Amino acid sequence: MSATVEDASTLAIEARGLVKTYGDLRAVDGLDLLVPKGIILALLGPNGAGKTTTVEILEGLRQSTSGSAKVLGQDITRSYEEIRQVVGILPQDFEPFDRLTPREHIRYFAGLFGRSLGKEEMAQILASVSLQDRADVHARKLSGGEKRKLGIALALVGNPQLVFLDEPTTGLDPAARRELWRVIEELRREGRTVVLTTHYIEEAEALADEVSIMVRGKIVASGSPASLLDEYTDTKDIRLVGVGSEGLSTLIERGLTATSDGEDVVIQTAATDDLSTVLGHISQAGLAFRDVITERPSLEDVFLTIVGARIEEGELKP
Amino acid sequence: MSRTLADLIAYGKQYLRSPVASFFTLAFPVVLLLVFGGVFGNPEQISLRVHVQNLDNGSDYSMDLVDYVSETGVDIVPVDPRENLTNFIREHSIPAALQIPKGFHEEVGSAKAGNLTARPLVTLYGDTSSAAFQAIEGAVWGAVTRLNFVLADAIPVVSVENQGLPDGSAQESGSALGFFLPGIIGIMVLTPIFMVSAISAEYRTRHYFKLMATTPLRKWEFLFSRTILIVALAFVSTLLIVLVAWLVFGEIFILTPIAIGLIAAGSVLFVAMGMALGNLAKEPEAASALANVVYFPMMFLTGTFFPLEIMPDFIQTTALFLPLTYFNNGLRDTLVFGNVSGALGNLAVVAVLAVVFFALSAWSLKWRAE
Repeated sequence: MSATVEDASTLAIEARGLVKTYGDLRAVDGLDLLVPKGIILALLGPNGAGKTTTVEILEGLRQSTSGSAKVLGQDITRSYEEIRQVVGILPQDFEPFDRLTPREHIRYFAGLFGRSLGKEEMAQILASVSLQDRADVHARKLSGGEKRKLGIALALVGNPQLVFLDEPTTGLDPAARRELWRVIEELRREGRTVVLTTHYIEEAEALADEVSIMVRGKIVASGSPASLLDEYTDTKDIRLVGVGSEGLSTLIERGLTATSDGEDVVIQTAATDDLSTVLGHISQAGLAFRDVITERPSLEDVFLTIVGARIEEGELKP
Repeated sequence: MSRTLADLIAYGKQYLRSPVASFFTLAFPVVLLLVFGGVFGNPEQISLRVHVQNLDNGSDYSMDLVDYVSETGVDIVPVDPRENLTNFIREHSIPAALQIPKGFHEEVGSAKAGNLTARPLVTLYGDTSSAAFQAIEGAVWGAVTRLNFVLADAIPVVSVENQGLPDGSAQESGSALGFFLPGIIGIMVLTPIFMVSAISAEYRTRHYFKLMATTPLRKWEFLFSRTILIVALAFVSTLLIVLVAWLVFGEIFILTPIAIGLIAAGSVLFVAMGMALGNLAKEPEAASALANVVYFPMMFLTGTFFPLEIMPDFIQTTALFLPLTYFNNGLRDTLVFGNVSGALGNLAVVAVLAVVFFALSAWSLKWRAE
C-alpha cells in the first residue's frame, strides 16, 4: 500500500482487492492501492504487468472482475459521470485528431468539460505544455513529444484534481522525455495528484513521491524511492578511479570486499558501514588513484532485488 | 448541450477539412446534377444516330423510307454499300444499323401491284438487347408504318400526344431533370456512408472512442452530434443542388415538407448505417469494402437513375430489400407525382429503418473498454 495514512478524506485513490481476469489470465490480481492526495505515484513495471488495466479500472473505463475502488471518494462503479468531471486522463494510446490544431483540441475538450476558455486561459494552458509556438499547426504535423504534451494539456483542461498519465513518455527521445518530466513536475507544484504508469525506472525515480512496483498483476513493493532503497538495498559502492590491479590485491589483503572494473576498483560496503572506517583503510594502504566516487544504489537495484530481473525496453530480462 | 455543440463543431471542422469528405458530400451531388442536367435537361438536344446502308442504289421507295426514319427525330448516318454491315457494326461499336436490300423498290412496287408473294423486307442489325437498339427499332418501325400508310393511300387516324404532370406535382416544369432530381438527392444522402464508416473504423483503431470516454461526453451525445452534422450537410447540399438547377438550368424545384422529412430521415438512416458498418468492421479497409458492398447495389438497383419498372423481376424484388428504394420512391412520389399517401408510406419505412440502424450503431459502438 502506498499511503501510510488511511483517512479517506486524504486519499485520492482507495482500491481494495481489485481483480481483472481474461479467461485464465489474471491481469490484475488482488491489487490494493492507497494514494494520498497531492503526490505523484508511479506504477512501475514491465509491459504486461497490468498497469494500464489497473489505471483503466480506476478511471472507470474498464470494469473489474471483483474488488472495489474509490476515486476522490466516489465509487468507480456507481459514479462514472461524476468521476469524469474531476479526473484527467492521458491514455497510453493517445493520438490527437489529425485535422485539428492544438488550440482547437484544447477548445474542443474544454467544451466537453463544459468550460469556455478565454484568450488568457488558452495561452496559459498552451504555455504550460510549451506548445504556444505550435498552437495553430494541424496535429498530424506535430512530433511525438508534442503530441504527448498536447495529450497532457487535454487531460488538464477540465482542471482535474487527479490526473492519470499512462506511459506518457514511452517511445520519446531523451530530450522530449525530460521536457515532459518538467511538465509533470509542474502538476505536483499545482497540488494535483498524479498517477503515472511507466516501465522507465529512472522516470519513476525522477518524478515519483511514491513508487508501486507491479509485476504479473500484483504490487510487489511500495513506498517512496528512499524508503525502497533503504528497505531493499544493503550495499553501497566506493569506486577508486585508476587504482589498477595492484591496488585491488592490497585492498583485499586489508579485508575489504573489492572487485576490479578495468583500471578501477569497486569496494562494496554494507549500507550501515561507517564510511570513515573504509576510507581510513584506503588511506593507510597508500594507494594512488585519480578520484573516489561513492555509488548509491538505484531503484533499478531495488527492482532487481525484488523481481530478480531488470527491465529493458519494457520487457523483463534476467 | 454544450458538449454536443463542442463535439459538433470539432467534428464538423475535421469532416470539412477532409478533401474527400467535403467533395463527396457537397460537390459530388452538384457534379451529378450538372452531368445529368447537361445530358437530359434539354431532350431536344439528345440525338440518336441511325446507321443506314442502302443497297438499292438510291431508289425512290428506299429514299422515302430513309426520310421517314429521319423524320422520327433521329440522325441518319449513311454506310457505304460495299461494307460488310455486321463487321462494320462490330468495328465501330454501334448499337444498330438498318440495311435496305437491293431490289427493295421493285419488291415494294410488286407488292403494291397485288403480288402476294412479294416480301419487301429491311433488316435491323445490332445488339437486340440494348436499350439503344430498342429505341432505334421504334424509330424504324414508325418509318415503316408510315411508308405502309403512304403505299396504301391511307391516313393515320389515331395519334399520341405527350403530356407532363403539372397538376398535383411539386415540379411545375415536369422536366427530365425533375425526374433525376430524386435520384441525385438519393445519392447525396447515401454517399456519406463511405466517410462515416471509414471514420468510425478509424475512431476505433486509433482509440478515439476511448479518448472520448475519458471526458464527460456521453455516447448518445457523440452519436447525436455526428448525425446532426451529416443531416445539416445534407440540407446544405440539397440547397446547393436546387440553387445550381435554378442558376444553370433555369429549373425551379420546390421541396415539399415530405421531401424535407425524407432527406432528414434518409440522412439519419445512412449515417447510422455507416457508423454501424465502421463499428462492426475490424479495420478501416474492411469498413470501406463493406461500404462498397452496400453503396453500389443501392446506387444501381433502387431506381436511382433508371426506373425500376424497366428492370428484370429479380432486380425489382431485390430492390424491395434495399432502403434507398423507399427513399427514392418516396421522393418521386412527392416531387414528381404529387402522390402524398405513397410518399408518406415510404417516409414511414425510411423513418423506421433510421431508428433501427441508429439503435444498431449505438449498440455496436464500444465506448468504454471491455
